[in-house]
Amino acid sequence: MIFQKKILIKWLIGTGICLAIGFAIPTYAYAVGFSNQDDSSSQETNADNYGSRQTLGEPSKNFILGSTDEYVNLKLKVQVGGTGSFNPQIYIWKDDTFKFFAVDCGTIAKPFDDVFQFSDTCKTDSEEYLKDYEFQTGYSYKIDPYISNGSGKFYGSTNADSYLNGECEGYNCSPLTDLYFNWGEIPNSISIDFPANGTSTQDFAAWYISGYQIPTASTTWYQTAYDTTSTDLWTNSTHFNDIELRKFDGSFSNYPFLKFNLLEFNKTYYAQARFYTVTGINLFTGSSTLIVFATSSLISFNTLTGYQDNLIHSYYTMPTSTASSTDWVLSCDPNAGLVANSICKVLLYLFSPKQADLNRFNDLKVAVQNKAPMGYLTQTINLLGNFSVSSTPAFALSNASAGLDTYVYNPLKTGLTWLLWIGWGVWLFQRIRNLYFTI
Amino acid sequence: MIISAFLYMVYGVIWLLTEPFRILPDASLPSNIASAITTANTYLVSINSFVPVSTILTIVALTLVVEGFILSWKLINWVIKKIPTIS
Repeated sequence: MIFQKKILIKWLIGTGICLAIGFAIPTYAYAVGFSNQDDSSSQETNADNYGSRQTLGEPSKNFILGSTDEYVNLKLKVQVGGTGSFNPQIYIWKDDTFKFFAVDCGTIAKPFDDVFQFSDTCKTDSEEYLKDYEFQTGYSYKIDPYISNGSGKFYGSTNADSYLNGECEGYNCSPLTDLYFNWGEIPNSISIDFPANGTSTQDFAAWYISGYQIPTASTTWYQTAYDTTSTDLWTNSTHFNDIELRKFDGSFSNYPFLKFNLLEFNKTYYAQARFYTVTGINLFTGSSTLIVFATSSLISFNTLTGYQDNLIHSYYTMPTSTASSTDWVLSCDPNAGLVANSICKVLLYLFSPKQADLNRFNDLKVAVQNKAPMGYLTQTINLLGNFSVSSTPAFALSNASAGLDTYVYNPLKTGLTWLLWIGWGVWLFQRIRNLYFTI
Repeated sequence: MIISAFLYMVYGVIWLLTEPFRILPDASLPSNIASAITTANTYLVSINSFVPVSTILTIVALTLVVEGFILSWKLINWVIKKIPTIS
């Protein structure tokens, strides 16, 4: 390898450009505060950073304890953003029957990224201490951590061996007591079915929520929220569809996306739907609590006006954004203060591209990819992508027997596989070793 | 707005560059090539019992990725080389 000074400088510049391109956009998005609705993947990634541990359950999912376990001095890893404070609560379900919820567990001041210990004052709604509650063998338990505002993640454990930030200060720390909480605003995501491609439907008529079976035993409500600025709809929206809240009995599989009639014309709206239930008034706290079962992904659309029979009707464009894993929705924190919020909005206006700006490139790619000469390459790549070892063979080499496969073909194949990988490794090593760092 | 305007300019340039291609009809791969690729697949499947076809395909793909990365890296260097005062 020839490392000359100029070459080194160019290499550094090239690397710097790559790093700048790779990190500039995420850093900027983080600086202004982005919300990516597909939180599940990032949460799992973060969770893995705290060591491997046995996952007993996530919110709204059942798990079965292998032994009689008591949660004593339960500590949880908490990551929450924003400002202010909240009181964590936990809902316990036993064999799909709501058992109790625990309150008075302490206060978390945001932002917070540390270990939070549920206090000894944490009580169930029957004023039984949570630390004294005994989870019994053989039952299916479901735990829903809940916070009344904001969103965050809880990671918990009573096993110090498998959870670096947790401690087992109690007793009965069997391996199966390693509790794992992970909460967010989408405890159980549901999907939105949009109209099929090619249809001209613009209104809500063909938008449905699916993928969630309403439990018949509980009183569940379906709610939609709208806002023009914030994507944190459940906290900041002033347009809840209170008029058309509905109670379902579990007999429907699809639920129409509720239309809110008071949306302004010529605006871009964010919208989201969710199913939830409300607990009865708790004598201990004097308040009822909302439990969210499932939340849809975030969509956005534009409101238009139209005339029909001399009457003004509102029409809605097809959703342009579903806030998927590839779609960042940038928003400002309304609690950051007037100046900070204003600056944030100015920065967003100046530097945040609209989704349509990005979609335009994809449209161009679609328009070009089948034209000559690119079309030949596209079709060839598609054909190569259909390569499969399960295709029908052109011929059979021999009347292969089980013995031939076991003692001849399989070892030969294994050997060739090793040889290929070793050969490729040698080639890669030589290729990099002899790489000349200039054009 | 600034990023949007910049993206729109880039889009405009690409749109102009691709305009000659977009007026062409869709390309159609000669049927002989398509059938040749399909036939090659069936031959590869036939020897899959003792030749690790999936490994070969993986290695070919990885090789293309490595070579593509090196080529991209050289292209970036070539562009940098065009900057005045950097030789």
